[in-house]
Amino acid sequence: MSRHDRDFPSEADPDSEPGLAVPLRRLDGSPIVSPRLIARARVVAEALFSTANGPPPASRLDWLCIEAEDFLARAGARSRFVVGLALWVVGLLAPLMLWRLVPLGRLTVRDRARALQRLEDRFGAPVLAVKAMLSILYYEHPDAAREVGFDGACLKSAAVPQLPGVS
Amino acid sequence: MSIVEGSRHEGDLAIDADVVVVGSGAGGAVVAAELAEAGQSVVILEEGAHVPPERYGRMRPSENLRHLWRDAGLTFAIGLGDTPVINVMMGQCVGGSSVLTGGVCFRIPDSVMHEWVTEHGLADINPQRMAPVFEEVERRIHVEEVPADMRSRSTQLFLNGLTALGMDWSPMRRNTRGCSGCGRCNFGCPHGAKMSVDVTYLPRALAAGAQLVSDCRVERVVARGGRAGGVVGRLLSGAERKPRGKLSVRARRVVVSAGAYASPLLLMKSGVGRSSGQVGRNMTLHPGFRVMARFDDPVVGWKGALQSAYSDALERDRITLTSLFIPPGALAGTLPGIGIAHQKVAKAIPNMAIFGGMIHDEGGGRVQTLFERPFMTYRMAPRDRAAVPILMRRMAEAFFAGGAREVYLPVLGLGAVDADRLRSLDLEHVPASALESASQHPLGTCRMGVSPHGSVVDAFGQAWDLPELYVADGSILPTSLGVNPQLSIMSMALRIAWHLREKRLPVS
Repeated sequence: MSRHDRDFPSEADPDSEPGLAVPLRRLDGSPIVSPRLIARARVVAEALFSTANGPPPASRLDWLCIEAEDFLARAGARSRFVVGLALWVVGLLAPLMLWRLVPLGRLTVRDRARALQRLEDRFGAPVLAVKAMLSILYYEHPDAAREVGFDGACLKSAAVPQLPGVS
Repeated sequence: MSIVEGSRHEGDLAIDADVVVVGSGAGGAVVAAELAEAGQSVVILEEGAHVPPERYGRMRPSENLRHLWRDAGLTFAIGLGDTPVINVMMGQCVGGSSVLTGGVCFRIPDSVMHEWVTEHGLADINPQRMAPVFEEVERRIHVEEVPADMRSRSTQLFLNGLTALGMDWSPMRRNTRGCSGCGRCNFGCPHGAKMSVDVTYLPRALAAGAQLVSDCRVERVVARGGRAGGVVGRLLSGAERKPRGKLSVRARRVVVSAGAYASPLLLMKSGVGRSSGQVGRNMTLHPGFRVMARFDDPVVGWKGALQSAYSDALERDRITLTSLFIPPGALAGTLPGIGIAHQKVAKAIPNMAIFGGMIHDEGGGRVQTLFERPFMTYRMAPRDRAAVPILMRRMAEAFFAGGAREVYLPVLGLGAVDADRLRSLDLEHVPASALESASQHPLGTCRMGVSPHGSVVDAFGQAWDLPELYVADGSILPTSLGVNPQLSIMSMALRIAWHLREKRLPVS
């Protein structure tokens, strides 16, 4: 089932491990977002969120890529162009920061992180665009949120009121 | 109550009404409710989707962005000259940006109204005449002062710093009832405590018989017999929300309330306002900059009202400081560092405080089209640009006075700054391309005035060159406000609605 058949399919309980949702696709099942764009995003995410132990778990990156595809599919052509352009620029320039003329994905995760760090230090704008989108999505994963100490709690416990909204 | 979701409607849709209102946000909802309750048949058209509060309240921030925000929050104004690119965030859903504000409610400042009277000739828009209008809106959306115990620690630490520096601050007023302090108002209140128009004015409009069509894009205002006589557009459907069925509304009066980005585009497509040469021009944004600070002790800044206090201590420099918070992912995304360095700063998120500053700008923005594609440009006035380093330095000083260990300024590639380094930083020469700026307050692109030369609409929002076409949203404000504009937009819309309620509808 593709996402256009359902209104809001990924409203997971924030305390539960999110399942792998299905990103928004066309009626014929073809992707709205170029798979190449998502692959480029994954190459950056592996390095951006890597720790001393290496990149994040593959399952979390899978989840991130599906979320990114859905996000960009719904964001509209203009936003896809902006993010796609930023990813292309980052992929092109970052290796040059290490005097390497190869695709970013060919670098080891550690070198990728070094290259991206240097690019961020010198020409921050394209890195910021990519990093902001990936981070918003990544830290919505309950494990990632937990790792940085975010519990999402409110100041006061809330009694859920009768909502008077239009219906 | 009647809502037609354009995305689910088969075929074309044709409607007759007394009044068609384009846009269901802070302006359109107010006009629709008032006119429907006065007995007029009203149709409200909304480009975005209908997402009820019980749904958006359960969404994660990124889901909210993709379902309720225009371009998923990725709309930008291109900076011209010494101006940064500015991320302009706008709602695109039933209820519009009202659903996505921090709930902040300021009246139009007296000094701003004074300027409108003296420099723009808008004699009726003065504190005395506007007071009952403000009071009525405040009553309808339950404006209340944020109590001290609802402040987040993030806000309180900054306020402590302001106090230590001898700078005044005040509690904010917001349209809330029963706020739990979840720090995420701008992604739709999770508990329905924010009295946005989708839970206040729109239910009133629908209860009075108004009809609302979501998921539709109005393409043109139709003129009949020398006056506005309706609109035509398309219903949006499918995965990519492509235009499908035709939409036509025949009406005796047209009110455009699509916001300062979409309203001028609709007027341009309709050939309205050309003679003024002002449609799409004069856009102000309140360019905003946020400063983050790391404290030794946990701050847990997401616990508390998202926006609870403000300071006008820098008013002389045309700067207003307002409390805010952003989700941890957005926060992490703007902090410097990749890989291990990123992990280090991300783990400090619970120790981070944030405060925002915005500039009471002179304008210099424009909404226009190129090959029928809309885009925005913005050129900062020299005085506004000069305020940016003042804003950053004073905010950083306040955080240090409040006990911060280091601050993160909205400058790309700068990294963490401690108090010693701040003193030596040359903030006055940071290039615009290195500045991070955002805006939630586009205004002024169809400004009102007393003459067709220099303004698009008259003092009651009627287009100078097409009778019975009214504009009622943030685009009519003749200048920026220096404060969050939600209440001002609603009040100006109410003023127009009261005028229309008394004005006889033309014979169809």
